[in-house]
Amino acid sequence: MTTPAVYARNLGKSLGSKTILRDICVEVTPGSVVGIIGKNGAGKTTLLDVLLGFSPPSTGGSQLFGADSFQLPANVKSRIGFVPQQDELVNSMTGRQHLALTAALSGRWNHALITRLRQAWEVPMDRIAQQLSGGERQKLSTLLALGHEPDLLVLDEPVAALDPVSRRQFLQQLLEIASDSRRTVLFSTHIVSDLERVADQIWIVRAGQLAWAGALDDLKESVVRLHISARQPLPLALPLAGVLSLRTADQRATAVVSHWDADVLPQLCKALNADIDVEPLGLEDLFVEFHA
Amino acid sequence: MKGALATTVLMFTMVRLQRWLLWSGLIALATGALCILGAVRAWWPPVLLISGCALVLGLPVFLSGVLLRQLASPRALQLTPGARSQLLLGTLLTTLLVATGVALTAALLMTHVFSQPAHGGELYGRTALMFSATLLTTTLCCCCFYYSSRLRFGFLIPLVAFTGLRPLLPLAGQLRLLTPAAMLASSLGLWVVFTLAFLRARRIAPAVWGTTAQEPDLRFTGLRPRDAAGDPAPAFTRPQALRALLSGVYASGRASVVRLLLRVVMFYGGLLALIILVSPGHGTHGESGFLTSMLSFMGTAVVFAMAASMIRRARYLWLKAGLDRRQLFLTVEALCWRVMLGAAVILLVMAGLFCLLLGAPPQVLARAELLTLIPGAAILYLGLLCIQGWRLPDVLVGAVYTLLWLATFVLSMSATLNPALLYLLAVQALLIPVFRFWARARWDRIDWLRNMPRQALHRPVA
Amino acid sequence: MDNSLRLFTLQPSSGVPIYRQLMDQVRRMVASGQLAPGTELPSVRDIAAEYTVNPTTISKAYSLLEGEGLLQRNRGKPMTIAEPAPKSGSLARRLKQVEPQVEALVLAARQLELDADELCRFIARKLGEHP
Repeated sequence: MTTPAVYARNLGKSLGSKTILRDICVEVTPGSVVGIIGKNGAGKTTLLDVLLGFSPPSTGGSQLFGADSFQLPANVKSRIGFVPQQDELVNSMTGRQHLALTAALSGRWNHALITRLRQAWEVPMDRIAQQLSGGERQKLSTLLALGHEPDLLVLDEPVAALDPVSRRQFLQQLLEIASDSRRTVLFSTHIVSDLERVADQIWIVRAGQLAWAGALDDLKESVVRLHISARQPLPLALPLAGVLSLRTADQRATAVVSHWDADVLPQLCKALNADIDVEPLGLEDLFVEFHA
Repeated sequence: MKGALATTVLMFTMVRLQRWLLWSGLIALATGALCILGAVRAWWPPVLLISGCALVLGLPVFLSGVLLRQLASPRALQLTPGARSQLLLGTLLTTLLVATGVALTAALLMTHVFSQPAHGGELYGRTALMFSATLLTTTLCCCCFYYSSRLRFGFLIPLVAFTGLRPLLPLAGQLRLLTPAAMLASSLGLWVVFTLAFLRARRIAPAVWGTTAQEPDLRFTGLRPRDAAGDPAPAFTRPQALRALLSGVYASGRASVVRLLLRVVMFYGGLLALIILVSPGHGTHGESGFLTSMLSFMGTAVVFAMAASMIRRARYLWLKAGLDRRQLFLTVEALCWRVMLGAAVILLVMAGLFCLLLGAPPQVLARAELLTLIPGAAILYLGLLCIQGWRLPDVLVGAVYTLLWLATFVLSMSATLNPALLYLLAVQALLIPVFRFWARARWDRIDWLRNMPRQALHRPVA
Repeated sequence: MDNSLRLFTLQPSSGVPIYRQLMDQVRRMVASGQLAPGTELPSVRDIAAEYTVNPTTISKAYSLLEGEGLLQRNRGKPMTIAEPAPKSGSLARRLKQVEPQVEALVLAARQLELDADELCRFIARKLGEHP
């Protein structure tokens, strides 16, 4: 039983009277790629901050590689790479100087990897950070986090400012990292299509709680939209479990259900005396339905 | 009109601290006023009245200019028609409100508290004087802070201006410039000029105070962006890397944080000295005391400003440098001391030069150093302490220390050495280890969610 | 080898998980004869890189197909299509294999208002057309 890369139990965080996170329980095995989605203000960034030890939790606790987040020892920190949403660049330093600075602070540094990536991603090296565009700053920040080959890579909205070509390059790099089964990636993003390619676990953060924390494949298979067309007017209460949304109009109904089991389809058709069409939903539609 | 009123309300409530001040101030004001009107003869109603007035009206005097800039700088607002005039109108209303408040308080004191209460014409005259004087001062502060908030150490400019204007006051009195009519006229003139400048400015850049933006200050170092490029093999030792990340200052190795400090202090100190040398009545023994205490005050203020941003930036070192919270505290403390000792050395040299030029005795040097180091260290640890927002203990300690520090500052301006000054300094010296112990305990649970580095609105490159 | 990489059409944004899309397509191609027994399939890494998707989902598809007997794992060499199993499967089991397609066909037929006789004749004709 390997130690999970990230572990949290009943994690909660409040600032003053406002509860930002509540009852978060997660376990990430090494080698997973976890995508975190949620509306603005749902608490994604706070969750990452608490997991990484920037902020003490109000209730419960979390661990990274078996060490308590709030008191991470230096050897665990050297295995973590973090790309924050607000970049932490020094405005008066060039890209080259930033790389030298980060290399001086990290134990091991893969110069060959950095050289290859900075050329492939076209990161400007000789202009000061003040003069870089938002996308270039993001690329530089990401580069700085990859140099010491972390076992846990945490990214907060890493591609928000990148153009599609740069985003594709970044995803390919992420997949190369992910194919190494000892390395784990956690990233939060709004761009749902990227997650569908790259992530195998999804966390949906809704109002400070995890509305879903599990495999992406399971999510797509268990949350479906049912199109029901009956031969008689439908009753108001339908015998469906875990309904997320329901629209009824006389003999037709559209329902989105979670925990769908394909085996119950024939019984349901018979019970309602209706034809039921099962429509699987893409991640973007799923996200909308979870927040309906 | 609604926007203007909203702006005025914001000026009194925007900063978190103001909510504390507003409530306590209003209560003190109301209590004092009621007691005075109810003919309660004691020493404390006037004190309550005056402190209530100061608590409510004090901060908007200094903040109105900065807040105006912060409210006007978002680009969306610059495109909205009429938004700027609403903001300006709101600021004008704020200054009028402050002046009215002060005038009414003065009138209340004059009619009920003074041993020879004023009536009729004399009362109106004095109230008008208070009103117009406050209006002029507030307008000057507003304009001054509006422009100086573009520089990180810009709060030193009003200081320099105040130092420069102080000897001119008697002169102005002689020229009959201190009558209500003259002061109202100059306020009006200032407002007209400021309105024109404000409404016509093409772009209003955001304030730099309280953020980690460094760009305007780097001009002090003479660094041009192209100097940074072409540094083919930059090398950092671990301590250099830590300092660069913490201070946010590294310009091709040519501008470390201490060098920046040197240039800043020399610039403002030089300006100060120039004003004093040029203004009438210089060269007296008393002037050097005032000058050195102003320099010390300036030095500690600069150190505090740098420390405040370093405390927030310590977040960057948590993961990157692998330090634990105890080590982070020690690293920040070490860099702050480095900056402070640098400031002390610079001030020693400058004070020494002025003493030579103004012919003051060497005790002044010792006084300058003590005034820099002791309150400086106390303010430093107070800053390291207040990292969890404005909770009640923080407010109380901050208030008590501010009073101590103000008393020190005021007493130090006199030419002769007041023994009370030594007692005050001794008290502050004793507080230093207390603050340090408390700060160390708090840093073990520092929450960077409350202490995020504040970035200036990032100007995207076209 | 390059041509075979673009053999599949994978849509990450679809409601159908990627591994299931791949499995359905492999099954269809084997059934239609497009992938003959013994054909080498591209490796997990190649497909993942070509379509920019997570390799675990590809390897999950391959493992499940191997479990169904459609694919054969060879040590040190890429996966190949397995020989078709002798008709030891019962009729019920073989019919269950085509159940998804039949359900889709039934639904479409209902929407187009085709009745059972017309449909069965059409199916019989199609079965006759293929060798």
